[in-house]
Amino acid sequence: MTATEESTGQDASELSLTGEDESTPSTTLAQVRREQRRVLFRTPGFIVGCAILLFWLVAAILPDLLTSWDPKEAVVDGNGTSLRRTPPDGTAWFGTDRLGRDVYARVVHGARPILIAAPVATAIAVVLGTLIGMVTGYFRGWTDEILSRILEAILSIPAILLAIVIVFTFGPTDPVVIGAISFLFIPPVARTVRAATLTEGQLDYVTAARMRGESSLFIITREIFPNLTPVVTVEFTVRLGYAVFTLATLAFLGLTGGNVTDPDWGVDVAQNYEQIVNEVWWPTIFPALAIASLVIAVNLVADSIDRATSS
Amino acid sequence: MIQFIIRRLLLSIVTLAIILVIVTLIPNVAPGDPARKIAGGTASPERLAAVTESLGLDKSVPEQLRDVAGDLIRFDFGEAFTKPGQSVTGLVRTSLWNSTKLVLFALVLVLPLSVAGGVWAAYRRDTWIDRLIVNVGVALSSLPEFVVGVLFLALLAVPIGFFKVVANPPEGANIFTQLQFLLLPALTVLTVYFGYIARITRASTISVLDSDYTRTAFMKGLATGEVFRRHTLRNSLLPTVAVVGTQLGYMFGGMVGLELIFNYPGLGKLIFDAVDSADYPLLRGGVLTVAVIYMIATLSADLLIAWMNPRARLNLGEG
Repeated sequence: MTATEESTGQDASELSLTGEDESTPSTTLAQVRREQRRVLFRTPGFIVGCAILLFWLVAAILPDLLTSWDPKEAVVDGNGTSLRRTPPDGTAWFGTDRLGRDVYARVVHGARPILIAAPVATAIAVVLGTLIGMVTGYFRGWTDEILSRILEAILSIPAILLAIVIVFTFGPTDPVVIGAISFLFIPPVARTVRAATLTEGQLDYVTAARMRGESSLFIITREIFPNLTPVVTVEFTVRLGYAVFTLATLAFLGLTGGNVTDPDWGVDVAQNYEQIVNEVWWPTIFPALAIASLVIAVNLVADSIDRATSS
Repeated sequence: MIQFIIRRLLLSIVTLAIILVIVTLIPNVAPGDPARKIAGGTASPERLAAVTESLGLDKSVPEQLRDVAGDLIRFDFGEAFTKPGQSVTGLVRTSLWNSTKLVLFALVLVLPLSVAGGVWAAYRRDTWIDRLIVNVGVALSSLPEFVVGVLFLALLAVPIGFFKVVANPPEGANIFTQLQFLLLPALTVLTVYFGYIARITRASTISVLDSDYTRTAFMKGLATGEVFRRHTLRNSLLPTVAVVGTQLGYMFGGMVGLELIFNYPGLGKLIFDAVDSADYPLLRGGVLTVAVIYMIATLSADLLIAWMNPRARLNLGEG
């Protein structure tokens, strides 16, 4: 019974959609999207951001393409003694750390953990946050009231603190770190999507769909959701930046699933920053700059997409 | 206005209660035995029992909730787990005072500079100055504080003796020495927050500058400074006030990395040390304190906004 209702509902909407195709709005929407993409691909911030991201993607997928050194093995000279704390030079581009490991190799290999964890955590948060946001924004009522209060409460504690509490009690493993970040990023995504859904829900096309007798599921997924894609895209890129930020900070605080000897930017900064006062700056500054470049790149892309879609 | 304050206060209490429940529930929903993970695999049964008790897991969930709520109301979180004889409240109070010093000093730098930057960018909209302020601000404001912190350590503290590598001044230092020690952490906060606050100020200033009443003010021949003072700033600073209110909680307790880098004994460092020494009562006390600070900060910001803009009283009062 419900199945037939669903299918007839879809048919009706397809009819109405094709009906709209002949008039102007639909074609202009496609044109607008195309125009936005054209503007986007010409934004300097977007190009620079993508270039940096591309570099770190290569480093994460094929680190051996960028360096031939092993990030865990000490660099040795001709006599077999390891070269410790040597400043950057022609052989070890970023110098060597206190155990004689090549800092450049560690920076290149350190891209992988964060480039896996950050997108995964963000994706989970965006999917769940979008669902919650759409449902609460569309139905409103008391569930919305209660959920909104809970989300607001989570938002009122610095995410890093709750992440620390969760990782501390659940134990520092990769799934826990990723899960904690996804959990903490659901509220901001849900809030943004809820606000957008509220605005969309008041527009004529939603009323029209309701008049046609479409199911709520259909209206949310097929009518409202497509119009939220710009919002969700921007939200994903913005949250991705924060995910990198939070992951790096957790790693710096030692709350990470990885082993201490594994190359990881945050861990490397934490293990070496005390030597800065002895003028051994390279084992700290290069991984720190790697974190900075990744966060800035993601934010440049996020910012460009935001401006292109809202223009 | 009274009605607005009462409404807003009730809302804050609800928020705080939810946070309390979440923080209390986390060890209960952790899979396996969190006490064993925290104590370590080789811990003795006594130690394990002590850790379980420190997590509150020896009691039922309603009992735990009642205990923590009572602690919060009395603002007495009992004894620190790893520092026998020292009350959590006492430890938190010392750290809170240190954090307050850092936050106040940072705000003295951050607020005037970033508001001025934002207003300037708005006034010179679409010129290179505007683009510079916005883009550099966006780039810097996305950086984790500990990254900026280590960069400042290497670039400023090591070559220039005036900047100190630790933020904690020697015992009995006068106020100027204290500020000298706090300068690098405060500059780090400035770097991280400048772009964020400048950007919010810029956006609201632009919308106010585009409004009819600003145009009227210019057209009736007022000088630019006069227009900004009398008409623009009062309205364009509303979002800035709101944002600073919401960010205060983060400044107090969220900058764990920064306080660690400069070895500054603030709330962030307290929370890190609590994790490091597996002291859950201390951790919970620290986190709940940050939540209370956030509550007070956003409440004050909302009241300030309501005072600055009567229309906001209506909107917030209804919500």
